[in-house]
Amino acid sequence: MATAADSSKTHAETTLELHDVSEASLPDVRARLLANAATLRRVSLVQPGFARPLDLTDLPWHMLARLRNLSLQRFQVPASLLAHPTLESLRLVTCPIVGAESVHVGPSLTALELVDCNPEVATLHVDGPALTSFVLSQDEDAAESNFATVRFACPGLQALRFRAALAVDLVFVGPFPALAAANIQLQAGAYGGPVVDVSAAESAALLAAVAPFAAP
Amino acid sequence: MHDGLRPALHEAGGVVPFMKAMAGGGTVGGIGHEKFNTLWNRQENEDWLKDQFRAVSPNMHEWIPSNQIQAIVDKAKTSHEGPNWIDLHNELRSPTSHVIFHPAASSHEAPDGTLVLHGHVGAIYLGSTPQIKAQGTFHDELRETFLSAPDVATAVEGLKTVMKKWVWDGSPLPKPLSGALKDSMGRPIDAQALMADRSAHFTDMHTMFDALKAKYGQKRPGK
Repeated sequence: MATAADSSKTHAETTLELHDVSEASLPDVRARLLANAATLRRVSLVQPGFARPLDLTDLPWHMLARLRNLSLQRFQVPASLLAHPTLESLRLVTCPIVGAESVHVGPSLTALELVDCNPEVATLHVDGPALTSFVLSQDEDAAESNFATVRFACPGLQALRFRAALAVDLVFVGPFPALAAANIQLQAGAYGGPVVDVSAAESAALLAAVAPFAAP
Repeated sequence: MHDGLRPALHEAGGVVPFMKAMAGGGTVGGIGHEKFNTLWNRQENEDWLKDQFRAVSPNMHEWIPSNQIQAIVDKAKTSHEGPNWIDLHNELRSPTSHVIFHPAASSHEAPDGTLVLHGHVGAIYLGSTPQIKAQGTFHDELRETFLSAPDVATAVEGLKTVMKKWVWDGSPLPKPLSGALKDSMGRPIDAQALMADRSAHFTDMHTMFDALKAKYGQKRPGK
């Protein structure tokens, strides 16, 4: 029987890719993460299939002090992970996000993608100074919860895609000089349109894009 | 979304014929099976294709979830039942408002001790808040059942079993319903009328599963 270790690829202890993590192999995975915490730069973990997300909320993510790129599928994670100080790219798929009322994204983060994550966090502050790309995709078949508010204050943002099945307040605090209309997609699902409060957005392109969704 | 997807679906005549073309080895608007797989792996393309598939029959629940489009195409491409898989995917739908969970599968007790039912997003609300606890798990069970099925008939039978496990059949409830529950149109719910509706819809679902199994489930050649 294949184990997580059997299928992994390690490159000078800077990369850990495991695409068959299971409940049985999780203790080994945690051990490998911690054993290589000082050197890991890229981590990609996938729990295949449709079992409940595996719990990584108590992993001391801050010990992975050189982590640049992280991709997780079907793991429960702490909200503080989004604020990790060295992360440059973070992709979470079907990862419940728990443990805080609000969270700010990390200062080094350039790309953040959240797919079907069912956060238990009220407010997401998308205010990373380095952030250029933000994607939130919440499918109606997966939706059980969403952020109540997502607050954008990231002047370097170049691309924004937001597709939510459930209602959410979007707050834009501009300007967004690098954001072109062609790179903005805001879409409400059938079960709650986003209420947009364009409080200080100075980008004409952004205003044009969000206007159809503005609250009456 | 990839620029070529919209014209490809237009050329094919819609998302369902497009899926059949991909499964049949065809090329539409410059997109063949290999390129389709590449495109599907970009989240924005998957999202757009799911929206097109749902738009074929709006306000319906797909018993084979919409994010299985690529898997359906693969099954249709490799199975002796071919496009029957795609027709099954397209036709195995029920009104979303009918998918209310059995209280034993998902529900909670309101502070006043009454019962709050849950279901598919869009089916039942408490005030204006959709009651959707465990609908992700419900859809995961449907995906797992579909993916593990070797043929259409087995898939339909398995999906029907999941339906019977999760969907409330209108049987008596363990306690009174919350008075704050609303239906998909925002109307207050009358418990007796809801029970009668559930019973009828549950029967309708049974009939649909059986009819589609008979229509698309084929015996293997020579058996």
